[in-house]
Amino acid sequence: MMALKNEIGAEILKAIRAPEFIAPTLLMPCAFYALFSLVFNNSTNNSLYLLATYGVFAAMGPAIFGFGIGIATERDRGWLQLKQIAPTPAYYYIAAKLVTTMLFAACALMPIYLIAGFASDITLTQSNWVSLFAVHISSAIPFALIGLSLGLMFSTNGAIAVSNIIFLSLAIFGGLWVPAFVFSSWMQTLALFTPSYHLAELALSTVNATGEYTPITNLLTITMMSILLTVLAIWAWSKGH
Amino acid sequence: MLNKTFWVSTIAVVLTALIVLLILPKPNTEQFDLLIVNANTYSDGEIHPQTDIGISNGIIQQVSPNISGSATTTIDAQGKTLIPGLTDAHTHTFGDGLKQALKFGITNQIDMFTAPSILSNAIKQRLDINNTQNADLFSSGMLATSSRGHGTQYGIDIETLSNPEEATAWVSKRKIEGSDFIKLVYMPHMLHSQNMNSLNKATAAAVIDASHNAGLKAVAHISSQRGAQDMLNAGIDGLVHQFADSEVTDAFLQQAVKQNIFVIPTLSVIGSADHQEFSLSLAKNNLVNKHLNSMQQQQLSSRFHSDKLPGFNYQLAALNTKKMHAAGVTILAGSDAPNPGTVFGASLHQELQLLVDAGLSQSQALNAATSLPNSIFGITKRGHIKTGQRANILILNSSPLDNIENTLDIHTIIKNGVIFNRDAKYEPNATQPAAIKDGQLSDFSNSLTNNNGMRWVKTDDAIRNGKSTVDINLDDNTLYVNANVRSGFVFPWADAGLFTETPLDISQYSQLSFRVRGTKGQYTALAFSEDRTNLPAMQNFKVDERWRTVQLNITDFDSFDASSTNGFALVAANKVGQFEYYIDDVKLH
Repeated sequence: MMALKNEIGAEILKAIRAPEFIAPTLLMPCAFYALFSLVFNNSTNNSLYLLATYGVFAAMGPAIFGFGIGIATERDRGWLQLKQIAPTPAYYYIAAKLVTTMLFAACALMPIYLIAGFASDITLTQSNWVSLFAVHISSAIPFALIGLSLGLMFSTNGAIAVSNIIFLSLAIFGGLWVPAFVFSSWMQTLALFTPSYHLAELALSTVNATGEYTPITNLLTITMMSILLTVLAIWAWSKGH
Repeated sequence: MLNKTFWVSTIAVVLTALIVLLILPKPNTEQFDLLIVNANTYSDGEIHPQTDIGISNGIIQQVSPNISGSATTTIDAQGKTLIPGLTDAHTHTFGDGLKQALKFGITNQIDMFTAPSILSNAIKQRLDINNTQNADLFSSGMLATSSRGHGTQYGIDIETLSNPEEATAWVSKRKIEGSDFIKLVYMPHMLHSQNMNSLNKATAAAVIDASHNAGLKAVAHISSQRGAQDMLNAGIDGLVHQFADSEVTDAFLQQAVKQNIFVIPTLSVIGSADHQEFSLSLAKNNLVNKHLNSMQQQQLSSRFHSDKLPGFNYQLAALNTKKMHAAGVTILAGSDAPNPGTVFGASLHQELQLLVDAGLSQSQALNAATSLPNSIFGITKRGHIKTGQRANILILNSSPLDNIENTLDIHTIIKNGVIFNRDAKYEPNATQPAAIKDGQLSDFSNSLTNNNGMRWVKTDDAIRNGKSTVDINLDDNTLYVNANVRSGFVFPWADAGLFTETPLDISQYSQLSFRVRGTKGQYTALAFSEDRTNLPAMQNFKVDERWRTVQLNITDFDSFDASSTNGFALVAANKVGQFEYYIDDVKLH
């Protein structure tokens, strides 16, 4: 366990020493949320809807970029190969990255919650706040799996490009910026295949906003997607060997 | 080093997240008894659109634009206007008055003279949050007047004052009895009849000083500007009528403003004395008359005297009110119900209209019946719609700020957090009534009893420590009643009644008829049913020396339950004096 803690410590230290990399993924969701919920807001339900979806958006950034670009870079430099043959189990390396990602996701979420609660006057019961936080922070897991696969499959430059495309697509088609129900029908169909859409629906259900599907359906879909992504990541990992 | 980084970072983030989650705003998740949503809420001169009000345990718990709590009962007041329960600042409460008032959304009555014996109960009731079926009563109790002074003619025992030395002891007795303030009668310059009298200036002034020393406000009944001026000079806190004998002088206005007195003009009752007809239009108003019983209908069409009284010029009263208001004298709304031409409840709404006619804005008129009287009389937790107040609220279908008459357009009345059923008769009873056998109640051919197990008995106020007496006898196949009604109890009575031990169901009958003759005057038939805790239902009838047949509709006995009748009584109505009358052929049809 000491090894895992040290791995996590190293990941955190790495991020802190290169703030220009992690800072945008922490600040952008918060800035977007402030912009859309405070400046462009024109109906009362809007800020609650945006809180649920922008929380997913906030967890997505550190997960996709942290994993995708981080692993690609380390793989390019041969660090990953070193890790794979080192005495510490290889999954410590992944687990440490995941824990760090979730810590950063939490850092990205807090300012959004504070803006929602104290500037947009959103009130939620204690259990609603906690379950919303639980959904948001867990959203990092499927996105981390996506990032992991990308990092294992692409070179650094390729990973930067592809991560950005995937990140923006998941945000837009998942309805994280603009509600999916305003999309044209083909876009709505596409939305169903993104984890972001189902995570957003799940987040909305925790704040008592009704979604298109039941939370159970959303949860099952997410689980299925996560299993598929895990399979993809394992395949990419073994291919890299 | 890495281990330390792990711990510091993880603990810092987890702790921050915990703190943020704890301090984030939570809705009031209280379960309310009653939640009113989307209401335009009027309180203290301001209207707050789209307000939610959460009520529990009879108290307003929360007033905010958006309450997300749940409630046992929720009222959507979209498009409706909420005002605080109204306060009538001048009444004389007795009988069902507090319930009749509540039927019109008056949740507080400031009484300007009633029998001291009812005060302790009134105080107990107004403290009781479960007092949801009657208005709350605040009262002067006994009034300060002289022997043969105004107030002594009503049959209530009054300890009169004749010199200033008696004032301190008199006031402290009132305080012990539970008087909330002191009311005195000062009208030496304009007496309504030759054999009346009044407190003199020195005694009245001594009563005011004694009241202030006892920590009580002193208010005065005056009938002229001279009287009002004397009271002003003596340091009175308020006048409970407008004077209507002369136009108010600038000097008076200046002094009244300087001394910060208040005036309760009671334009309703002055108008009635001056034969203005507005109480008749009140009786015709469909929003009013369906909630009045026949006695109240009659009350609104009755007059003080056949001749107009001197000193009651309505135009002058309205003008003086207008000038006082313009000068900055505080005006409060009071009806002086139930004097002729006024009734509990409805007449306060009329008073608000008259105050608006006299120059108050709609908002000022509302304040005169909500926030102002309560703060002036030191009545707490009433008169506003805000957190911590008694949940006394009127939901109006239309806004009184558009038209003050809309205070009568009542959607819901809430007293101490409970929706008051304006149309309810009363709770169903526990005793199973028996079916009536025979509609022929009494022909007095040989006995005072009848086939239904009913018996004629005499009743008088001796059971309430009154002094009235009565005798009843069979006389030549009729019932002879000889009643001597004397002052003593607040409503002195002595009469004959036909009562049953077991309640009877007489609901198949629609009319009570009897023949009567006797001492000329207006009499009252009382109908008693099982569940009445207050006064019985009443209808009036006339009696003179000749035999006449009286027919009364059972349904005109307001809040009388014919399915559990206890009996009827035929009485010389609420008047002191000697009455002899004969009754015969009492029947149900």
